[in-house]
Amino acid sequence: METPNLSFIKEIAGDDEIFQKRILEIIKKEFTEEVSLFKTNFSLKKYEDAANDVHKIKHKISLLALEQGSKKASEFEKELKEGIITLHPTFLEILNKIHVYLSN
Amino acid sequence: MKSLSILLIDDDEIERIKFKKVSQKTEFISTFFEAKNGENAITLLKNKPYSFDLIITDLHMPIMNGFELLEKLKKNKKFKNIPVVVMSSSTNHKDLKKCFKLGVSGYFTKSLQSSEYISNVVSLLNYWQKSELVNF
Repeated sequence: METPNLSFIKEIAGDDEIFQKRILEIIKKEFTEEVSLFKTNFSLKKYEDAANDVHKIKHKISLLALEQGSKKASEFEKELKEGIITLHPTFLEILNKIHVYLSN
Repeated sequence: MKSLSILLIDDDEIERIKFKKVSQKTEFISTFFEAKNGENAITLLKNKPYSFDLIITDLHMPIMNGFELLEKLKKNKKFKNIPVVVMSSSTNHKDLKKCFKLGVSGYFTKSLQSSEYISNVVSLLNYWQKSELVNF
């Protein structure tokens, strides 16, 4: 099972540690806000808006090198646009993994 | 060597930072100007005394999205000849078709895989830098 890591960011950043830190800081700040917005829109059944939230979050999922996770997020985004929510539990699991990773 | 003057439009700050960082992996220097959405970009275009060599824009942005921006650029005599490349994570064929109908010079998908993303950005910038040198 894949776990969040910095390989994507490191590949882009090379030896630039300041860049790595800056990206991580933005992820930490925006991830919480975006997830909260997603949860609100989802609970209100505003699936089109929730799809837009997933669209933003999936870039952060990919930045944390969760390849399968970002694919699932893309699928979930498509689902939501059609009002389908079967991948919701899977998406929440991915969010939780990231939350735990960023909290450490 | 002439550097490319690029207007980079994306509402996501990380995407802009990421793109600029990867641009340093090319053999050329690019100068970036940034906008968060189409409206912001139009203001920058109007206030800048010289033209951009290339516009790279996302599609899904608040206030004025990429499609609205493309329509405005196409209608403006001063801006209609600036090449525009769309950078989006959308693989929707309708979006792609609409972009080319609106006259974009290229469409590149933001890959969610690091090596593919880097390779796409580097190829894109190298291609435009070389095209610019041919025209220079």
